Amino acid sequence: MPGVFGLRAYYEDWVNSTSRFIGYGLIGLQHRGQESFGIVTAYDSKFKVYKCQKQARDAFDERKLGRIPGCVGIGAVSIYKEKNRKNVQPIIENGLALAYDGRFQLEDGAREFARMLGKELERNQPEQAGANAIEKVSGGYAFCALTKDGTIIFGRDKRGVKPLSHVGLGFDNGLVSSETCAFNVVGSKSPPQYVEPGECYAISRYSKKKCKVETNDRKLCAFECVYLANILSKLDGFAISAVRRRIGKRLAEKYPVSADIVVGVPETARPFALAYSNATGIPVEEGFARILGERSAIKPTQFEREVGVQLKLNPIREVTARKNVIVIDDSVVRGTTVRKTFKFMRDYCGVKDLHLLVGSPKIVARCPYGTEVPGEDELIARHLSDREIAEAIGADSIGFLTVEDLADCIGISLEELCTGCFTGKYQGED
Amino acid sequence: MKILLLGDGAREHAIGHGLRKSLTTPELYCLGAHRNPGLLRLAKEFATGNVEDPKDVLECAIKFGADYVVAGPEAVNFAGVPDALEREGIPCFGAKKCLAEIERSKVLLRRIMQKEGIPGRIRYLAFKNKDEAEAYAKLNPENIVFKPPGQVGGKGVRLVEGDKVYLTSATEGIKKSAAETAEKFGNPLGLEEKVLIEERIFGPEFTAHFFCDGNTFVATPLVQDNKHAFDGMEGPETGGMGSVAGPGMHLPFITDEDTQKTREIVEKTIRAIQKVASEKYRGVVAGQMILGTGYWDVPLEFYSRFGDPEGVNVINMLNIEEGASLEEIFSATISGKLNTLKIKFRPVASVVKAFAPDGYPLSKELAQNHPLVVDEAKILKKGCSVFYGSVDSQNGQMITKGSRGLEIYAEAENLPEASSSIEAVASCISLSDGWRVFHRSDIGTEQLLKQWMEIAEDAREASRRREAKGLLYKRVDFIPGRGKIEYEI
Repeated sequence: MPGVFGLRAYYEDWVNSTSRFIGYGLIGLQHRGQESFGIVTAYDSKFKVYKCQKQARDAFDERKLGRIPGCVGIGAVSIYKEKNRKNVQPIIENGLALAYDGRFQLEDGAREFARMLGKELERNQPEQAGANAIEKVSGGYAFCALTKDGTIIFGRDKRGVKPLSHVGLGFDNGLVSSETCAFNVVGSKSPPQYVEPGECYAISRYSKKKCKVETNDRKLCAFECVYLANILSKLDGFAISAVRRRIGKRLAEKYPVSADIVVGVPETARPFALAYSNATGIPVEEGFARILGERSAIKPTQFEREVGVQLKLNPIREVTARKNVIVIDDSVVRGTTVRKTFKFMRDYCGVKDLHLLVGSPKIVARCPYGTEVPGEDELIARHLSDREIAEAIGADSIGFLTVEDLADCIGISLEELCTGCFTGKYQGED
Repeated sequence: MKILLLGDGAREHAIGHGLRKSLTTPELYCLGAHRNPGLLRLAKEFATGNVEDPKDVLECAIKFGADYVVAGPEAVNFAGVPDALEREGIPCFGAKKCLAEIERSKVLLRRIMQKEGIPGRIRYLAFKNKDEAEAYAKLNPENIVFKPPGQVGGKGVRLVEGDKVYLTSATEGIKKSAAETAEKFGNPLGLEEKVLIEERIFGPEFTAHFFCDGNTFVATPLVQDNKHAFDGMEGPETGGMGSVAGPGMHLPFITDEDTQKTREIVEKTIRAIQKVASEKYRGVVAGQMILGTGYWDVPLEFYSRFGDPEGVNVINMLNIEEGASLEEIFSATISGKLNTLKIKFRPVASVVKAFAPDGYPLSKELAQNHPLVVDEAKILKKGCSVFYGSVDSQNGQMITKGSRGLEIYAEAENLPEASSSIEAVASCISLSDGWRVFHRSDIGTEQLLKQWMEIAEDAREASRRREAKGLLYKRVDFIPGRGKIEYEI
């Protein structure tokens, strides 16, 4: 879930601008982690480090970042609060800085990966070193590493579970990011490029090289497309805004419910509701008011998640009273939030029928690649049938997508999609 | 017939190759700073010397008994070599000094276009020093381009984006440095203006070459160069990492409609400068154009010679079976008889890719002095051709000089096929000391073409709309506190 970002400047006059640009890139990835913000640059063959356990927008400090020099650097935002500052991403291990998203299937995780990469770097060109490490290490991950001499090495696991893209910023910079929306934030206008599964790049001041591990497998994380990624982004070339509108349209085709209005749960489900409305002619309304702009589902504790949800999910009585309402959400995990919200809407907002449509398949399993899903005993869809779920949350009807629907909406074949959290099957995993 | 060719790069190798293939089979003599291995083979004699020194060139031309001289690089024209040769009665295929000003001074180009009301005008400001330029840039947070005010081989051009207000303070140091860099490269030109700032134009770029004898303009296939060092439009600006042309006279993303104004721009500008200079333009002229989003065709600069690598496409696409050969074209250009020739191009697609040692373009030091090994037999067998560039022949070895070492040319029915022909022989090029060479694998690929087509479609749509509203040469701004400001260009 974390977001990684890297910048290599080709001209020396970027020395006082690089860290701030990385900072803005990370603000562009804030939706992937709000608990920590870290930047490491390489300057004069040393690392310069700025870390702050706040969300990117608050951690960003023009003055402090202005004091982190360098023409090359990497950064990360993460969903994890760390007791030890050393574990805030990017981590530094054995003279290598590493920002990563996902999980390395290694006993000591990311640190072990960094050590392996460091060893490979001793006897290989950097892109080859990265590819060798990818070859050896299973899991679902995207990483962006930095050497002290200023080479950025970035790549994706052999199945490309986690997204990673790269682009140029004018003639001045090479950029790498978990999501392309961060490129927009720092002003790049070039079409983004996508790192292929098993592919590794190395950018130094004088070269950009790539190396690819032989693999024909692709398993892009489906949850990224439904929920995690920003609507401005393209993942592996799939425009998320188009995917989300197709999901809304698909819901309209599958579940043509008779209702007065359709409402999307902010933020992710709003385009679903818009597309549902366009397809059915049922007016779309803004039925919930947000008090805080935070992302609730990626808060670290259940309490913080609920605070977050309730601050952003304030039903607006004037919109829903005396109406038959379709509420569209992006996912149902425990069902607790939607149950509380529906109860509030019935008790205090005077709604008539209340239908729930979900823009994803049922979540039934944990993710081994770091997407935070609660324990399996807590997942409502793992234990109850559709009818029972509707009963439990107080909906008059409920509808989910299937994984086939989802693949269709993304425009990818089902085989190329990791749908483990919806099926419990993590294909290809050793 | 004897011809003296000036220059030592891949473009000149391609010119030499084209001349030797001509029906008139002229004898080729060369003058260059380093011994280009390709030209060495084609030339009857290869002299090393300074092509920018009119005296050196004249001596050489007389010694070889050259019937005429061909100017390769722009520096020859800037130095007044064609003028000096003509004074001694030796014709030259190359723009005279006063005409080559259209390339040497970008400010002059903009001024002429403005004065004559030629289409393709954009907003520009020329500054006498870096401080004024920097001060302007700080006050005007737009997307702008800093340039040295004249031709310095693409060096010193910096783009500063101003559309993200929050990035302003982070880019201040870069603006300062961009103004300094432009001045540094602009200074040696001896122009009054030291820094040029232009509004940033976005869109697909292409080069349109014309043979020109002073009266007649003959169009050649459009070519697109790729300036970024690395794949995916990424990396520092280079002299050009490879170019695509065709199939036929246009590019997949540049149509007839897009280019109708290009010819008008080039013709009118050349006719205007001919009038000022009272001289005939005899040589090749190229508009390095952009199909600007909202601006139609805009020249970024003019070339008073063949582009490199673009010229390699143009020369190799000549249809000498059914039309004039390169030597005949040069002769006719010099004698003002271009209108008597039938000039044809083969309807193929062609791709050129440059190969450079790691380090290029930012560190000549790293990129030079590596022994180059090329399996030419295999490259030729696969239907590609080799044009040597920044490589010197020393004791039977080829040693890199620090820039693009060689260019590989391929043609096919379509661009992706031509591109993959070159990819198939890329491994034939290496440096025997273990240093690495690089090239752009994406030039001419389906994916890159698709991206250009999308960008071009946006550019057309925006241009149509602005034109319909009469806004092509008008900028309207609102500065808080000062009110509405309108600029006519």
